[in-house]
Amino acid sequence: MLKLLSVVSVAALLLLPRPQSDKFSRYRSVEAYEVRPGILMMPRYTNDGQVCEITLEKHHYSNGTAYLGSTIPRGTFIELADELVPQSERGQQTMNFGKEYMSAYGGNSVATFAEYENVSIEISGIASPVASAGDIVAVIKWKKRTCATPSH
Amino acid sequence: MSLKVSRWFLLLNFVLAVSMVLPSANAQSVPCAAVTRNPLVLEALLDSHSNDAEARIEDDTVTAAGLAHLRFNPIVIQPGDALYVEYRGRDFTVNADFAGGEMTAFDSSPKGSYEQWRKGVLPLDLFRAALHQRLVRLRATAKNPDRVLFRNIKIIRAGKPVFEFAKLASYGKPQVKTAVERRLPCVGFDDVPPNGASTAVSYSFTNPGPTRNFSGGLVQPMLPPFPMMMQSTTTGTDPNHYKFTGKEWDDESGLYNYGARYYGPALGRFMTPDWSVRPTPIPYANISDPQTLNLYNFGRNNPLSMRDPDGHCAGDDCKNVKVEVKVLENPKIVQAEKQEDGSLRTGVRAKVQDTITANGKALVHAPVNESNTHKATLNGQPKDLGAKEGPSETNNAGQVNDTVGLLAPAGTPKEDAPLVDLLKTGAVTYTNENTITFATPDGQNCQCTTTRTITNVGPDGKGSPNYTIDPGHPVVTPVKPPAQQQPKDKEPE
Repeated sequence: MLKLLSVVSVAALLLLPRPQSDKFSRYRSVEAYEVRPGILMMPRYTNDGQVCEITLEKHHYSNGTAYLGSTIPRGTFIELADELVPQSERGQQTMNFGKEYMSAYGGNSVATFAEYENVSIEISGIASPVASAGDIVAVIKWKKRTCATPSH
Repeated sequence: MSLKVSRWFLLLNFVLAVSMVLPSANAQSVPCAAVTRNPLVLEALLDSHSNDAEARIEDDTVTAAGLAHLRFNPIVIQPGDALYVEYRGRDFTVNADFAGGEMTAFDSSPKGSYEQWRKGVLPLDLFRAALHQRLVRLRATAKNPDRVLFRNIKIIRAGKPVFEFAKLASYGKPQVKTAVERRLPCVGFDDVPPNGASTAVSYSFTNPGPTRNFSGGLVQPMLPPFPMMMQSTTTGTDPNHYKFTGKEWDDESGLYNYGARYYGPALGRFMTPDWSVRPTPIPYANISDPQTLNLYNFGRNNPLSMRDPDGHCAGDDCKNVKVEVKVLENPKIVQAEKQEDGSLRTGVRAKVQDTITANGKALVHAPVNESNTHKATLNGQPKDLGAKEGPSETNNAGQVNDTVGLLAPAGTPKEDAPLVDLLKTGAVTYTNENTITFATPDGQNCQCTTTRTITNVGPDGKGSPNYTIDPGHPVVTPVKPPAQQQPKDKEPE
């Protein structure tokens, strides 16, 4: 009876559906949070668990609808940056053009940046063609922290 | 196929050949590459074999059994040498015997028949061991040796026949023999005697000795079916003979005819090395691109980007592409300027224009992929903004217009004043490295990199309100294939 029970147990274990973590174990997992409807925030960490980098970008599919646009209003990026890294954490602005954010235009791209003692904020977008212009992705980096988790 | 060379041409080449010999009479080695393409030398090579009654060369055909009776002076196999042969029959193997005992074997095509002539090209240089060895004998073993026939047997070097077995009787003419007896320095075989003495070799073979027997030695592993004999999935019913890159596919040999050379898709290389009409050691060599030193590769081993229209050096359409950079507006400080997208910006900016032409024609409405790096420096403090990649497009005149500079959202004049003051007094430099990638009308992918710099920094290192722009010097190159990732070493357990 005991033998039969053990055989049934082993068979049941083998036949049970594998947990998701096993199913996708060959892929690298990415931690993501929806910080606004349709906007994902993906953090990276140091060895001791501190956030060292945050990426903000569009989530393209939700509730049966595919959102094809990739741009996010700059105001939203700045608002999220203020939420995620309060001014008190940033330290002094180290590269001060007299504006908090300065944009570098070259080719079809525009890189908007703000440089502080502890963090740097960079928003990358399309400058031309005008029809598709807009900011696409923002990256916040903590300068004094070294990321241990792999890059997104 | 015989070489038709006029006497005057022979004489001219002979003079050239002799002039090349004289200064190097005592040299230990002689540059061979230039000489071996000399028609006179080709004639000399052709004359270096002889007719033999035992060879039973009747009507330019020889049986499998008779192939071994072909007599010729041993030929040193050079890179790219190939054996051209027309054959009829099946279930046979052609063996090329080398003086060192090595043997290269080629299996017959399963498509072979006793009724139909087929043709093929066998690379004689596939094995390292065969290179620079003397080819001393060809032979064939066959199930029905008397039914397997060969004809038009040639050794191809640099795109030209250097040895035609089936035309033995037509050579040995007096004028050629005279030239041969003039002691050519370097004809691709026996060019440097082991003792390093004079490189002169006499080639008059009126009484060739018996065929040498070779036994023992290494036997090369059997080659996989060679393109000559390996057929693709193409069937005889396919009416379209023009396939890869529009070149004619030879169903019998399994090769593509690129004009100057045949390309073997199974090997992924040309069957013979590249050559040029003008003797040169390495045709089409470009020392900045090592791939050009490989005379067998297709499209510089970059077939996704490079074309090869004629079988010579990889077609580089990018050479015919021009990118002109024009400064549409010199850099200036702007305040609350309305941009194309309707926004108001304050900062410093210039406008530049790239015009792309291919073969003199504007590349209109062409998709362009751009990669831009941005670097801003304020009073000696740099900020590197990395690379941004994304799609763009040329306009209806083949132009890409760009704004270059540093701009911030405009505020009130009071809010903008600190930025404007800083731009006038601070030392500001902005550098944009712009790489555009596009396809030519012929389908070759080219890229153009231009570095643009805006600055107000003078020789004294101080800033001023006067900004200048260096629009850069566009450099157009073929797109390089992505670097292959090296497999990571297994970490020790």
